Amino acid sequence: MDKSKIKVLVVDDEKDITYFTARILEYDGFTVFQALDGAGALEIFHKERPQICLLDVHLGLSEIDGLDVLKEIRETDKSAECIMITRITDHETQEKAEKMGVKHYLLKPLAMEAWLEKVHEVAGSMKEGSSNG
Amino acid sequence: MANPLTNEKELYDRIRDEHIVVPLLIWDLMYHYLGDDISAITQITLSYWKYDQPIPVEDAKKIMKHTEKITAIIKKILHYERIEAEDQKLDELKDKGAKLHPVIHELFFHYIGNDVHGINMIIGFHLDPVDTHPVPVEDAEKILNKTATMKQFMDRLREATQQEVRLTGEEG
Repeated sequence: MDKSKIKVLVVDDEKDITYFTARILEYDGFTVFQALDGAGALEIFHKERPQICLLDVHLGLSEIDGLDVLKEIRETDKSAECIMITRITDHETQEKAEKMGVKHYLLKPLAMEAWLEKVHEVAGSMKEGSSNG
Repeated sequence: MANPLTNEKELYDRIRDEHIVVPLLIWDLMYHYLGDDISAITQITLSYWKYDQPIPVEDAKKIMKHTEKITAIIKKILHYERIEAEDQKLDELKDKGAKLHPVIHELFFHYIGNDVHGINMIIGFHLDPVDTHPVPVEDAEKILNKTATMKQFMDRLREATQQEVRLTGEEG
C-alpha cells in the first residue's frame, strides 16, 4: 500500500517526541498528524480518520487522558490500529488497553528504530482500500 | 556507552544473589521522567541522523534541555532528602524515604550519569558560544549510542532485579 495514503496520528504530551516522531514518519512517506493532548487527538481523529494511531496513554495534565482517547477511537473505528506507548511499570493501564483490543505496544524509553519498524509492520498488514478517510 | 565498571559482573551477581530490588516508586519515577526525556533525545537525534543531516543548533539546544532535566531527576533519585515540594511523585519519594541500594546506586550513577554527561559534552562542544555550529552526523550517532545504552541499562537492571514485568503483548 502506498505509504502516503496511510494517515498516522502521533499523540504525546512531550512536544519534542511528537514533533520529531512526526518528522521521521513524514520523511518515510506517511501522512502524519500530531496532537499534544487528548482533546486535540480526538478532534484530529474524527476529522482525518487516521488508520494508525501512535498513542502515549500518559497525557500528563490533559483533561482527556490517553485511555479515554483509546476508548473513543476503538468505539468509533475498530479497524484503526492503535500502537500504545506506555511505561513498563504501569500494569493497570496496560491491562485496560489490552481489554480494549490493543495488540501493539511500545515502551518508553523508545528504542532507536524499533518504534518505526512497528509502524511499518502495522502499515504493511493493511490492505489497499482500508483507508477510512 | 560509559565504560563498563571493573566490578560490574560482581555487582550484578550481588543483585541477583542477594535479591536486591529497586523500590517500585523509583522504577516509576525512572520510567516517568527519564523515559520521556531519553525518548525525546532519541527522536530529535534520529530525525537528523537517519537522513544523514547534522542537527541544527536550535534542535541541539532542545537536546541540552532534556539532558538538564535528566540530570536534575538523577540528583533527586540519588538524594531524595534534598527534594523540595514540587510534584506528587517527587513528594512521595521524599515522604516514603525510598532510596536505592548502594549497589544499584553505583550502577545507576555510573551508567545513566555518565551517558548523560557524555551527551552534554558532545552538545556543549558544538554549542560553544564562541563557535556555535550544528552537531555533525558522526556525533549524532554517538548520542544515539548513549541513549540506547541508557535504555539497555534500565532493561538489564530490571532483569537483574527480576522485578515483575506483566506485559503480555508484543513490544516493537
